[in-house]
Amino acid sequence: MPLTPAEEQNAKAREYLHRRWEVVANRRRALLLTMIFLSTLIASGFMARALPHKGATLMEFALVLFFAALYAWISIGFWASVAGFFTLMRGKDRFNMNKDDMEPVTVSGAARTALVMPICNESVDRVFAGLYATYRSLEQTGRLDLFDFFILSDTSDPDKWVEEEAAWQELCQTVGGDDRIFYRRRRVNLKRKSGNVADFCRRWGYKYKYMIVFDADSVMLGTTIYRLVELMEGHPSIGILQTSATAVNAKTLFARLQQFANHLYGPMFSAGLSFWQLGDAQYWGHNAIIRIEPFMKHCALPSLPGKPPLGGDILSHDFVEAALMRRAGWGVWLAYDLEGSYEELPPSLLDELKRDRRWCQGNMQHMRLLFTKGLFPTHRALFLAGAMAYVSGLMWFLFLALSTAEAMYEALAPQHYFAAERVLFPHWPIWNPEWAVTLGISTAFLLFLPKLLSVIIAIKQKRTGDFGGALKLALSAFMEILLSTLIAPIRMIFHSKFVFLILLGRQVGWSSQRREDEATTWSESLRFHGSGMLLGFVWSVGVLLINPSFCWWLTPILFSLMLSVPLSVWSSRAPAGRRFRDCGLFLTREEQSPPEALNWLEKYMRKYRSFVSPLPIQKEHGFVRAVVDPCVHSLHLSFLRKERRYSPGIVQRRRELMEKALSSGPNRLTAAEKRELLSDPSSLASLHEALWSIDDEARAHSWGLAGPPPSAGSPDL
Amino acid sequence: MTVMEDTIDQRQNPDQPWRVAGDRALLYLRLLNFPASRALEYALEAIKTAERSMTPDSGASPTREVMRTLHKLLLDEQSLPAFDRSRALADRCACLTPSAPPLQRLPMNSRAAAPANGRSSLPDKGRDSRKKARAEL
Repeated sequence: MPLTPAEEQNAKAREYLHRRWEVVANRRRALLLTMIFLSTLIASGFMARALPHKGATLMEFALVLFFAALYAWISIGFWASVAGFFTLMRGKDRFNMNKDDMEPVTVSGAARTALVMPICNESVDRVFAGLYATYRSLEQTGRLDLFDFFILSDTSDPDKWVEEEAAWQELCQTVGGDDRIFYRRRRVNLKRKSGNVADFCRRWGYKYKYMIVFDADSVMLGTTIYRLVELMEGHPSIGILQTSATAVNAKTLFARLQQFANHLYGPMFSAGLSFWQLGDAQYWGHNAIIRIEPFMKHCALPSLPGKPPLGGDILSHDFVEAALMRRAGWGVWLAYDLEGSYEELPPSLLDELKRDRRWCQGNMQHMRLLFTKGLFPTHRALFLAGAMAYVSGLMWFLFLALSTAEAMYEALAPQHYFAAERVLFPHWPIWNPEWAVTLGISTAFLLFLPKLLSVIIAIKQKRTGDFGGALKLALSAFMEILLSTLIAPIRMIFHSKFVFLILLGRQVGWSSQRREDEATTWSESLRFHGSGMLLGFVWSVGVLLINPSFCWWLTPILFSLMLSVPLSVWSSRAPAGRRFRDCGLFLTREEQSPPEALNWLEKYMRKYRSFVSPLPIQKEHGFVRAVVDPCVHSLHLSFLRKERRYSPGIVQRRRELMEKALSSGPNRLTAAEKRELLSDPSSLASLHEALWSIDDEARAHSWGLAGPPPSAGSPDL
Repeated sequence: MTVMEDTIDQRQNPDQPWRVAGDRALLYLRLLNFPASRALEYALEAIKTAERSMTPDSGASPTREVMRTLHKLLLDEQSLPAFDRSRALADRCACLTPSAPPLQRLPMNSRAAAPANGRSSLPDKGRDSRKKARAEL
């Protein structure tokens, strides 16, 4: 009996029945595991033999164990890079999703796609500028008719809430996107970002075939977006297609350093990941296209039993969604060479560490899903790798601490050359520094060879011009290695702390990332890095006093820790980033000749910031604007639900709030009080009316309504 | 300015409260993007109407009265561009906040709809989709 189109579609969708790529993937993964296992075994053998007691004591055994785990961890990155190197050198990949020889696909009107941008207290100008740039770019493709834009707000800050609404209206007016760009704010932020997207799916998902998830700092070219839809249409078995986002718009030295690394090493590493993962790839939470129906059907996230940090809502939802999608038989692929997908990076080390803190909690939660029924082994391995990204910091720290303890013990404890039982020869604890040097070199080889291979790839692909020429590229890569080596031990200390706190059951905050190029202050840096710096000093002095020869082994790490405060401040500064740029260092292609969309982004942000109002109210003071400005006020009211009947207690409380607002000014209200007023159309309208009728100039001034009052200099805003 | 000075100022300028009220009305109209000439017309009309309606010993505030009159005037003449726009927005927003689609429109075993239908969606409780799909085929 012939299959109906729906059955045929379903049959196609059972990705695991398409054995071709799976057989290849299994072979490749077996090879990867063998390489990792062999190299780790050899290196661990060397490590044991380099130690004075050849790994026979408990401490040395623990040292070898930690070393093996860390070596295996860095081997994964190394072998992935090697695979990526050969893939890119060969120039063709039969499993590349984005290959040119794909049969042409006609994208019908049924392939309706929603571009969803979940936001939560983000920088409003950047969010809407990113959407503007993407919208304009998509308009140029001539297929805007397929797409709708959804801004899905979970914003709790009352000022940003109103600012977002006003910015939405401004964007709609600017691009004429009234029937295409939508804004929705959730009153209850259930399950954070994943809940926000799930809410979208539940309300509007059935209207669309695909959704492309954006981060607050994402921008994508129209051609890239359209290509993603084409690829999904051409491959009905794919559930999620992830792009490899390129970092752009970095200003500070730290962000430019990361941006350069992303441009130089990213393509090779992504190709390597794709080589091992094939249809079992990761979903990184944004800049990816998702087939909505299976996503809704199979990717709902559980709330983990127990309390946070390891229980409760899953913070890093993306890996889990990819695993669930795959479990349901849909492919998850990485379009590693699809260009025109952009994101921004944290501007400073502290911002990156803040982000890492919540990622760390999310990835540690994944350990509880490790044995979930039906998941594919690759996704279990990815859960493990995600957690290992942070646990490795703690392991490294413990390895160093144990090494120091061993060195101290060897220097201080009396040596017993003869064992208790009678033996012919004494036991000489011999430390083999030459073996340790060999081991150090091999570790450095694993860490730095991929960087060299990336430079070779850039030369082979004639991309050196993107980095300012071959010489500048080499110099930048050298500087990047130097600076990233300095930063690595600082990250190690923080990651150790995060993992340790989470294991102790301490909750991790979920503050939004600071995207502005604000430099870290000295006091801030001292507060966060002070203890690490002190640890570096104490460790150095201790080792120097007791076992000076061992100190040399720790120098790169302890030196970095001692420098952490100034390094964090200096690297967070935009002028430092500019100076490197003026010297032609850490250049990227988008920095030298940005695509039109990125120019639009800049232009829109400038336009947005040049806001002029007849009132002395800043754009950021959303609450005051909603109360005072009649346009913003009516816009905000139009978003609220119909008036409802409340209990006398609530009515009385709101009346008191209004009186407080009128008599004391907006600054005396808490965020919760502002939110309450903003949520109630009746109170807000009454406040608007009462405010415009105020006679008292000082009170009117506190809302930006009158000229300077007799006794005060500036409005109370 | 002290209360005494304020009182003296008001005695010297009895029109001062009306001037403040007029300025307030003009500012409101400017924020509504009214052209200057039309704004002036509306403000004057509001002041005149308010003045007529107020008795000298009523003790009412000119600002309150002018703003109240202005609102009424704008509503009566349906010349509230911003409010018109907000109505348009409200219409558009209506399509933004449809009631959630009926559950039968979602796949029956939609687990993404957990918050709507209140079901648990623990992956552990999920069926082994691979086995089932193999069996189906």
